[in-house]
Amino acid sequence: MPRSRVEKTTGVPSLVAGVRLFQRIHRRAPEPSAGIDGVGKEFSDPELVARFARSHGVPSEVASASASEVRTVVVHAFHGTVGLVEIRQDGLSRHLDGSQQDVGDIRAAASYGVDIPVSAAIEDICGWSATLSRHIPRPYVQVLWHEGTDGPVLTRIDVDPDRVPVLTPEWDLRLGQLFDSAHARMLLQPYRVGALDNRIPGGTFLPEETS
Amino acid sequence: MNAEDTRAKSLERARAKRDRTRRAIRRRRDQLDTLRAQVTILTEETKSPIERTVGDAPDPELALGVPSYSLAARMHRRHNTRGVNDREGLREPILQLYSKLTAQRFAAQHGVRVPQVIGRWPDPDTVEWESLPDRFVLKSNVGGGGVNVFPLVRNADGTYQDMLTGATTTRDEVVSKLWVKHQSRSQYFAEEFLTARGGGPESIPSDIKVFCFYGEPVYLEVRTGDWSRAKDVTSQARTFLADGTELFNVRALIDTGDQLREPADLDEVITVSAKLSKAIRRPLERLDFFETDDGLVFGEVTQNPGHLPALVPEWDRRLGEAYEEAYARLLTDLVAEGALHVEYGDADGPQDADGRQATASH
Repeated sequence: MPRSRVEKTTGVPSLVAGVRLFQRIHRRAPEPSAGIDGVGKEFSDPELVARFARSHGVPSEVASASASEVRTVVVHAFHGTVGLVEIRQDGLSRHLDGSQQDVGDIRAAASYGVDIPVSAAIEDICGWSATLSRHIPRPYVQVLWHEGTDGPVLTRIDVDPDRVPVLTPEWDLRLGQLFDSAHARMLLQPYRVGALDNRIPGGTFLPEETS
Repeated sequence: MNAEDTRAKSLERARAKRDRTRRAIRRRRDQLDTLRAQVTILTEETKSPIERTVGDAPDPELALGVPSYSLAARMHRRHNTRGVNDREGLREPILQLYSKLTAQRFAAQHGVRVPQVIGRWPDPDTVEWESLPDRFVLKSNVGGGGVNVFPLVRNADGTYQDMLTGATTTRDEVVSKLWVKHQSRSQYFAEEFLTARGGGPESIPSDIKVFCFYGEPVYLEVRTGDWSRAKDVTSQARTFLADGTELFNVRALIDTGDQLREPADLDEVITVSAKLSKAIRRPLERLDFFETDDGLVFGEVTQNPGHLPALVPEWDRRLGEAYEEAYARLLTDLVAEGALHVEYGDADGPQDADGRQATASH
């Protein structure tokens, strides 16, 4: 094979490579944790998170972790699609796919807790998380919930997580594909208002059908 | 011949031998440097994107990774060529510039010199050969790698010299080759035969390919032999930074073209590239030009190069930095224009984070 054929590849999707690339871009903002869109700062205020959630019909109580917490649920969401659900309890973790099925021990950094119960509200949690993520201009966010004795409560929306799961190659690829699609969906917002159009002096370039 | 002459001859021979040896050593050293660079690139290519991102970090889940041009550029290429964007309803406006004639019109509207179009036809059979001058370039408006590009010079017997392959050909052969690659959106046009700066009337100019990052041309190549119809021709390149610094053994999987000439007017190349690139709202693209006796002439916009440069790690990272800075600038512009923001719904009454009327829906 000619050496230059190596350059013909389009590569493969990757959750970690995609998420980290986008984090590095946003961290070039004057206030890195806020990101270029300021969403990191906006969502550091629980009141604003509650208002955002309420505006989308998601239960709006936003609470920090408390003594009554039983489990933490981290929803890894890709601009409207849930890719992975992580349930943490007593130092163990259990992972579910987007349709809430257990996916087994796919994460080297986590101790697999096969006996961690899955909340009866997990479907709602996933639905709410998908809804919220769809309206945030990032391809990937983590939506954190805690489950106390009174049911799930939204804790935080993390648009710039320090920890990104390193999964088996198959799962890194699978979630990388979701990242790729989410990146496209994220760009639909500026695309639909013409903000991505090619520019010419004094306006927007209009391609002719006959060209 | 006296003893002194003999000694002088002997010394001359020894010096010549020394010079030959030095040249051989220099060649070997260059070959070794190239091989080392190739091994470094190929070693990186054996790693998965996640391996390239986390490296040997003590806790891989906390590794932020480092910029990588190849990972970023492949992501964009994948999004276009594997239907990711299409499936989501995103048709990047840069794709409008895939058609050569449309891209030329775009460049011309920015005041950039484009080749003069002599004629346009809907299909290969309708090309009006008699109306064409003795030298011209017949092209399809779509297709890359020179596969649909025919720089032709008419011979006295009515045949043509294909200046890309050096072979003699006929209009029927050209027409049938164009039909092979015909697509429903194909159109055909003939344009002036551009000649290389300082070359003869039938010399084809080298391509100048400028890798741009939302208004910032960073890396460019002078290339030749990059034509898929010329099967026996090897692609060769010389690479430069925007300030004219030549790079060696950076894109080491492509042969260095020692005979290629550096751009004569780099400032113009950079100025024009920056202007066009800033007008394309994407963090990266490649702009191609020809350098002719008549100045710099626009060639085409390449959204997804068939061969994305595989660079040695240091330069993969430096171009990756340029890409990430470019994407940050693009996002900054989009946010400033109000085109990228959190969307508040109206389930709890119309409002946004500042209590303003919400404009977006679910």
